[in-house]
Amino acid sequence: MVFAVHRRLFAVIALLACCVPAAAEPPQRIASLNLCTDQMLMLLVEPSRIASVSFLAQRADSSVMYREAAALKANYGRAEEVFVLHPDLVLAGTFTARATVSILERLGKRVELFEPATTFDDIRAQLLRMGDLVEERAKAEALVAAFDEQVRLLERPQHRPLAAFYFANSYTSGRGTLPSSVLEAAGLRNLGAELGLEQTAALPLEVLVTSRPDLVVKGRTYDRPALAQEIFVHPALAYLDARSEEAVLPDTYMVCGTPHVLRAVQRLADIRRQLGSPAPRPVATRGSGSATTVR
Amino acid sequence: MTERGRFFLLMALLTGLVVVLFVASLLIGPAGLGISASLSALFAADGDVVAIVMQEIRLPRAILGAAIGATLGLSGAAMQGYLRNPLAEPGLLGVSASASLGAVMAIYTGLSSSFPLALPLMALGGALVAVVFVRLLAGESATPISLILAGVAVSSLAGALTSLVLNLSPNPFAALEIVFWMLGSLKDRSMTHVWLSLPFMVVGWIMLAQVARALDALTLGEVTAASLGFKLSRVQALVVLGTAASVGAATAVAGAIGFIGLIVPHVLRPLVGSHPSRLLGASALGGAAVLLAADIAVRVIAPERDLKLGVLTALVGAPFFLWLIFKTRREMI
Repeated sequence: MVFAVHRRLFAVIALLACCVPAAAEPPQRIASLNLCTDQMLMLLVEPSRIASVSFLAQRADSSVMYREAAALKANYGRAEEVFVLHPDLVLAGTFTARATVSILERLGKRVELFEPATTFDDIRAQLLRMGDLVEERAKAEALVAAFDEQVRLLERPQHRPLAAFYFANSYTSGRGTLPSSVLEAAGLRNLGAELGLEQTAALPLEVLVTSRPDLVVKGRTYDRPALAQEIFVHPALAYLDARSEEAVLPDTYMVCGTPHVLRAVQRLADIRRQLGSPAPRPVATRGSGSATTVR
Repeated sequence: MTERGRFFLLMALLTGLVVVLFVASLLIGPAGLGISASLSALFAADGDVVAIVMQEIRLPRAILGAAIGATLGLSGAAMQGYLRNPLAEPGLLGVSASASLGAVMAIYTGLSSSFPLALPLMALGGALVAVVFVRLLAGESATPISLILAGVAVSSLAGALTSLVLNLSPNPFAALEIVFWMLGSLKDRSMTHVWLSLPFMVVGWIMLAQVARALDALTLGEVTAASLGFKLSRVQALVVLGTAASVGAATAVAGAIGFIGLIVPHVLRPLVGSHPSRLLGASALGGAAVLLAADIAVRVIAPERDLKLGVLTALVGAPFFLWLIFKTRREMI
């Protein structure tokens, strides 16, 4: 009985929300549930218009814009905490907090979903779509233009060394991933893509070793141990990257499709230049291994 | 053929099987290397990539497969002989689960990264607690079923604490690794793991081998065995410490792998003529063969999925265990 009444109440609310003519003015209380929509939002609108961002946006180990997010209200993707903020626009990823999204939609909130960006074209398209949603089209176009300008300035080298991402549990980025697009833009070939792997896929250590990559970009290592990251200290990998370089490439720059990915591209392009000559390399030998490691 | 002759023939056949499976284990892997190239690379001094794959990835996997299998078969045979209980086995009695707990505490607290020996030592400690507990429980009056129930309790408690330690770890990957600790895997183990675990396993094997004659005498009862001059307290210490050392070290690097210690001695017992002493060696070889075969199977069935060893051993072992329970129950009635 109570349920029935509630459901009817929800229906009425939903009806009101859907049929009241959309407000003429742009959304002023925008809530975002996803790290990537968080960052696009912060790039485009004033903090005063942001009702909330996800807690991940405030963490330095996951967000490029954690400083900007620090002053904003954080949410953990729970329906009620978002609902009480009375947002006039909710942004979420297609894979984030599905249950929360469906509850908010039933409560009549306007929810816009963003797919994970995997290419630079996705980045442009999503910025423009976000610009339209928050009615900051001009700002979005300016960001895209600046992004294009920086992409245009990237080198297109003749010799493109072979690079492999190697994440915890021996996973790598294959075709159709943002890290793969980042490698390509940095003038490197992606081993995962050349092996025909799709998305994020397992890359056996044996195959990594016998593929003789010029560069191994290791995943992040957490302070606290886990078997998943023991693979990074496997002796076979140590032979491969005897000329190891302890450079830092925070994966925060490759998690989300925002113009920030260019930081990762530039970092990898710097490392590519250090890899040097396109001379055919001898067979990797112990003690004089020829792959470089980046973490 | 004499009984002795049959036993040597069996041992020769089992040894041959282990050698064949060991070589097969070396030859199977995702890199798809040629047979002659990979076998010669095994002994190459200068390491090209094939030698690195063979010496640093496949060789430790094959060594661990054989050694851990031998540990499980041998300790299963020793426990069944010593407790005179057909259902005794490190996995079912909670020894493996407790060793896992010790290993998990060593790794995820960071202890083993500053002091590597903490890993096998803490796993040994975990195994020791479980073996001592089982021994206390399996006094004169313990029936096979009550021993198994105690094993269930020890396993559940150790499993819950393992899960707790993993859940409390701030590393986001830790919680998922419960699967490894409960079902076991040899994926991407290295020579480091061999050096950490093999010495402890060898010490355990030596201890268990020394009780062989005593186990024969124990089939006549403890009083008779004592009157034959076997010091039962020494036998007990050897079984307890030998099982803890070998199973602890095995579990520390490969997780808990069940049922091998149960099935292998049962299959081989009729073939060795019911001498517990002969069963020890045969079960060690049989266990090595079974685990090598299981580890080859996980690589052939689903190369990219990291199927756990315990899944295969349980698929075969659990129905066998049920059959054994029904058989034991009939005999008790």
